[in-house]
Amino acid sequence: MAQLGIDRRRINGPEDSRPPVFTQDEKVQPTWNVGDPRQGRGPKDIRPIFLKPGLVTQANGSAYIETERTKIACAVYGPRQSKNVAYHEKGRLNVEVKFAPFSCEVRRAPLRDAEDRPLAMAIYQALVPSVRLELLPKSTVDVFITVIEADGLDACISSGVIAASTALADAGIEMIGLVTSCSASIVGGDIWLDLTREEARHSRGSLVLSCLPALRTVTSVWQTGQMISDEAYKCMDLCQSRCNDIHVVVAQALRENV
Amino acid sequence: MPATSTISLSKAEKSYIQTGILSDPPFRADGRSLRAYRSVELETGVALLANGSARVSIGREGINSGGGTEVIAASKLEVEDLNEDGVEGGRIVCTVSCSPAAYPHLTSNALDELQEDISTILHQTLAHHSLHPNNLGILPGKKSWLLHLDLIVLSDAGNVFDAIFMSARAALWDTRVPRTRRITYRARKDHAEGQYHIDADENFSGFDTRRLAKATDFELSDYWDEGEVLDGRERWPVCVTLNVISQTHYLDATLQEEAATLLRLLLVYSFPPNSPPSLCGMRLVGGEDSALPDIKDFIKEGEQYAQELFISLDAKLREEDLRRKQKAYTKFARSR
Amino acid sequence: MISFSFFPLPPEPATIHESPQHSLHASHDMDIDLAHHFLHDSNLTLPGETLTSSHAYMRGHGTYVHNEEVIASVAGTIERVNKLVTVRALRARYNPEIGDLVVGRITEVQPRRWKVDANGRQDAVLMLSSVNLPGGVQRRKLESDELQMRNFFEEGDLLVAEVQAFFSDGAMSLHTRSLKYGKLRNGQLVSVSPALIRRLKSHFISLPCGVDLILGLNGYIWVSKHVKENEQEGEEGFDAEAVYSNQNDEIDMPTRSAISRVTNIIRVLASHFVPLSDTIILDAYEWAMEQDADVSEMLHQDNSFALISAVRGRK
Repeated sequence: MAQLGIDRRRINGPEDSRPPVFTQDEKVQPTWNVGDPRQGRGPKDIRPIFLKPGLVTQANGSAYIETERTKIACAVYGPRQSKNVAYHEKGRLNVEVKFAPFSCEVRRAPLRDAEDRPLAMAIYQALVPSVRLELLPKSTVDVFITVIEADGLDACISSGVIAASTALADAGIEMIGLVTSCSASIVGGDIWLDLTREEARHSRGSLVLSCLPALRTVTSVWQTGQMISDEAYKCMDLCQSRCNDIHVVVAQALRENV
Repeated sequence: MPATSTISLSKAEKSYIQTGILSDPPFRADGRSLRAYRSVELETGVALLANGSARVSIGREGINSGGGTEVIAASKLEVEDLNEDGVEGGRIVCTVSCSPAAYPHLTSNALDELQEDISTILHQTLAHHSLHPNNLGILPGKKSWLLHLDLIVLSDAGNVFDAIFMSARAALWDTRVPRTRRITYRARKDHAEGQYHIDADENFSGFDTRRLAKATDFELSDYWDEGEVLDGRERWPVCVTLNVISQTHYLDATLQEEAATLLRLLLVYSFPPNSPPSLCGMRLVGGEDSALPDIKDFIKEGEQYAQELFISLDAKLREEDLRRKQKAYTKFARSR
Repeated sequence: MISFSFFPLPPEPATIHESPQHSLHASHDMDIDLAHHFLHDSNLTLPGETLTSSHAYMRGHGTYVHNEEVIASVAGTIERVNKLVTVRALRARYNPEIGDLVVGRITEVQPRRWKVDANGRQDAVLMLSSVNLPGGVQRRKLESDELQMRNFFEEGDLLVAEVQAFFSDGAMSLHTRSLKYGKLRNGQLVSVSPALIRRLKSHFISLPCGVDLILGLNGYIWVSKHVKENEQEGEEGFDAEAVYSNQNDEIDMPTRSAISRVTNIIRVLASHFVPLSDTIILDAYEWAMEQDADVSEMLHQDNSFALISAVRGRK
C-alpha cells in the first residue's frame, strides 16, 4: 500500500539517505560568520578542474569533469536526423540533464525528480550561440548530461557547460569557439568565485557567466538573488578573466586526447 | 524554450523589421519609438477569492477587441504545518500557466515546457530568500503561510515577461495577509501543589500537557479589513526585456518583432526604498553571442528603463489602492 | 515611455426580459416569419432560430432543415436570393471561391507542392506546376525544379495568388502564374476578419502616398512600398532571381512611415468592424494626415474613435 509511488522496475534505495560520515568530516569545523575570510581557498580562486574527453566510447563525443565534489559526465550524440519534427533550416540542439539519485543530499528519485529542466535550459543557452546550427539543417544534436555528484547549483551549471562544450568539440561538431563558464557570488560584501553548496547558503546573489574566450564574447548571463549593478559588473569581469584560464584547461585536455 | 518565436515570418518580413530598427532614425512597424511601450492597462483586485490579484494587458486595440498580451496574477495563502512541508517563516511558490488559447499552434508538450520555463524564471526571482517578506509566519515552530502566486497568460502578443512581472508585482502588492491571533493553552497555576503527586519527581512524561505554556494554535481575528499588506511590498521587482539587434536595443517587442530578434536580455530590478537599486535576476536568451562591454551598457540603460517602469507602476498601484478604498467605502455606505 | 491606464469599463449587463414574439415558438405562418426578418433592419439570426418553411424556400449555407423548417445553424445575417435562404456568419474563416485573390503563408514544402496557410478551413495547395518557373515563360517543370523548390518558396514566405480550383476534399489550389502574383517583399502584413474584405474591381491598390496594398479576400492584407509598373519584372525578361528574392529594396523613411500609418489605419478600422475598400482607406489616410498625428498615436483609443467618426462622416 505504502509502496504506491515506488518504481518496481529498479532496486530502490531507502527514501531518505544521508552522506556517509567520515572521521575527518567529524572534526568540528570552526564556525564561519559573514565577513570572515573564506576557508580553504582565496575568494577569487576556483576549485581545481579535472577534465577528460572521450570516456563514453559509444557516444560521438563525451567528456567528464570533476571539480572537487562536483562530478559531471556528458555525452553528445549527433548530428543525426531529427525525428517527427517539421523541416527547419537550422539544426536543433537538445540538452538533457539528469541527476543520479545519490547526487544530492536528499535522494532524487529516478523518473520523478531526476530531470532538471531549468538547469538544462541554462546550459542550452550557454551552448547554443557557439554551435553552428545553420550548417545542420534537419538535424539534431543531443547533449546528455549526468550529474553524478552535485556541490552547488551554480557549479553544476558552469561545470556542465564546460563538459558539454568539450564533448561537442570531441564529437567534431562545428562551433565558432569553445564555451567556458564560471560562477561568482556576493558573500557578505565580498565577491567569491565558484561557491560550494555550503558557501552558497550565505550568498546574497549569484551570477554565472558563460563566454567564448577565443572571441571575447558572452553567450549567457544567468543571475539570481540580489546585487547592485556595480557588483554585477565586477562579477562579470572576474568570471570572464577566470573563463580565460579555464579555456586553457579545456584546450589542454582536448589536445591531450587527440 | 523562451528563445524560439511562436509565429513564423518570411525572411523579407524579418529584414524589413530589422532594417527599420537599425536605420537612423529608427522606425518600428507600428510607428513607436524604440523605448516606447504600447498602451498598458492594469487593474488590481480582479479575483475576489484570492488574497491579492491583478490583471495586466499590453497593447490592446479598440474597445472590445483583444489583440494584446494579457496576464492575470493571483496570490492565495494556505496554512502549512512545519512538520510537513512548511518552512519557518513561510514560503512562496510561483507558477505560470499558459492558456492554450494564447498559443494555439503549440503542442501540449511544448506548452508544458514553455510554462515551466517561464515559471522557473519567475519563481527563482521572487522566491529568493533576499526578497522574502517576514510576515508570513503564523506560529513560530508550528505553522506558517504558504503563498501561492499563480499567473495565467491569457494571450501573448509579445513581451510576455514584462507583463508577467508587472502583474506579479501588482498581485503581491495587493496581497493581504489575514491577521492571526495566537491561542495559548496555559496550565492553571493553582493545581500544581497537592493535587497531582504522580509527577512530583520532575521526570515528567511527554504526554503531560500541563507544562506547555507556548501558543499551540491560532485564530483569525475578526477585523474590518482583509488583513495587513505583505511586509516590504515596495521591494517586489519589475522586469524589462531588452531586445537586441546587433548593438541596438528596443523595448516592448510585438510578436513579429520578437520573431525578427535573435537576442533578448531580461533584467529584473528591485528598487527598495532608501537603498540602491538591486538586480534580482538577469538572463540572456537567444542564439547569438554578445560582447561583455555591450552587455554592461545594456544593464546600465536597462536599469533606467526599469526605474521609469517602476515609478509609473508604483503610482498606478497607489492609485488603484485609492480607487478600491473609495469603491469599498461607497459600497459600505450604500449597504447601510 | 510607459504609462498605465484603466481597463475600459464593461458595458452595462443587458437585462433579460421575456419577449412574447420570440421566434423560437414555431409560428404557423413561416412566410410572415421570414418577412418579419427581412423587414427588420437588422436581419440577424442565431443558431436554432426557425427562418421559414422548407416547402417555400431552399436551404443555403448556414441553415439546415428539420421538421420541414429551415433553421439557421450559424449566427449572422440572413440573405435571400429568390428562393434560396442563406445565413452568413459574422466571424468565420475564409470561404474560398475560384478566382479570388488571396495572400498566404507557406507552412510546408512537400514533393511537387507547397502547403499554404490562407486562413481557410484547410491549408491551400500551391502546385509546383502552378508557379512561374525561372528561365522562361510557361515552361514545363523539370526534375531540377523539384529539387530546388525551397529556392522559390520556403516555410514562412508570404505570397499573393489566385484561387485556381478546388480539390475533391475542398482544399483550394492556388496559382501564381501572373507577374502580379508571387512572393511578397518590402512591407508588412496585417490580418483582419475576411468578412471585412469586399470583392472589388481590383485588389491591388496603389495609394498616392507611395504605398501599395494587396487586399487578400482571405483577410490578409499586404502593405508595401510602391513598385512602379515599368520596374515590375517584365514578361520577356522574367527574372527568377528578383521574383523569388528575399532581399528588400531600399525603403526610405517617409515610405516606411506611410506603410506604418496605413497599417495602423487598417487595424483601427478592422477593430471597429468597418468594411475595407480603397476609398475608405484613402479617406482615413487623408484624415490622419490632416490631423498630423504621430503614427503610433493612431492606435490610442481617442484617436481611433475620432478616425472612425471622421470616416463615417465622409461617407
